[in-house]
Amino acid sequence: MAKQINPTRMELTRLKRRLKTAARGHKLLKDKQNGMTKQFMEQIRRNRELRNKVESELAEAARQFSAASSAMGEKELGEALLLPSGEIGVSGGSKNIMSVSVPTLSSDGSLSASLPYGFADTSYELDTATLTMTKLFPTLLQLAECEKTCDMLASEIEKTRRRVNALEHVMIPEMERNIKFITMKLEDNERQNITRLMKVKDVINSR
Amino acid sequence: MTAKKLKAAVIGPKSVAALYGAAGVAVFEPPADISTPKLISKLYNDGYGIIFIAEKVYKDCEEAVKKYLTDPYPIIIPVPDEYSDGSYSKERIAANIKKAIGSDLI
Repeated sequence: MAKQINPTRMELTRLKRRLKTAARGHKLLKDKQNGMTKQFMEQIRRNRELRNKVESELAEAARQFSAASSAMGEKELGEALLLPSGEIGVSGGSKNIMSVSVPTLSSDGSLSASLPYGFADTSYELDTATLTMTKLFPTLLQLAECEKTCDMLASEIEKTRRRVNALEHVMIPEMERNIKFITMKLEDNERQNITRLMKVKDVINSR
Repeated sequence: MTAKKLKAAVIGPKSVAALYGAAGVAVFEPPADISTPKLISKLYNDGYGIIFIAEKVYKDCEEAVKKYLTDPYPIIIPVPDEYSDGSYSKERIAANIKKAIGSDLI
């Protein structure tokens, strides 16, 4: 608040320096926000496409799976899938998008398209469902990576937007008000001094 | 950051999880004795960096999952189950757009 600050030249210099830093920070944060928004829009479009693809293929796999379940019986289905088809090889790293560390995933292709059961007691639908899921897995990884990136970018954009707004609508106007208050106060003091000096001069001249 | 080996898991009812199990993903059914957030935390500590959760289970622990939002791992995403009609994932995408931009422009 303007009334709580010291109207001194030192305070004025300090406030001017702070205002300069705040304006620079505001510009940088605004640029960061714009950059992140651009990246976010690209990612969210990709997210939507991947989601639609995964959901339709998963629905197809689920349909094949339920057909297999009704053809074989739940117990036999459970027995056939008791042993997993193999260990999934996924490498995870991270990359930097506008100082936000987001995950990167890659499948090392170690999961073979082989079926983990014998063909004697299993149905054709189960083979199709299993192979569909195996083929879908790399897309699922892409979706996981993309969705997490979108979640993280959305949170970071929201945080940055709040900071930008706080600087733009609270801090910078307040500093400008304080600078104006101190400048006016100092000018007022200057005028008082001049008036005092003129008075003194008049008193001296009148003697 | 150097690449590290990650494991994938799925949490969901038998009907959903069996599908992923066929693809080689470790399957965990929603626990009766401990809460799902605790299971997620346990799985992450055991090296599971990617956790798929059936939509119905995910909805129940959505708030707890938010604490993992600031770190790249674990990646926790909802996957459709037998009850889903695709609207939940669309809602999540719309919510993210609204959070980032202020309104759902797309």
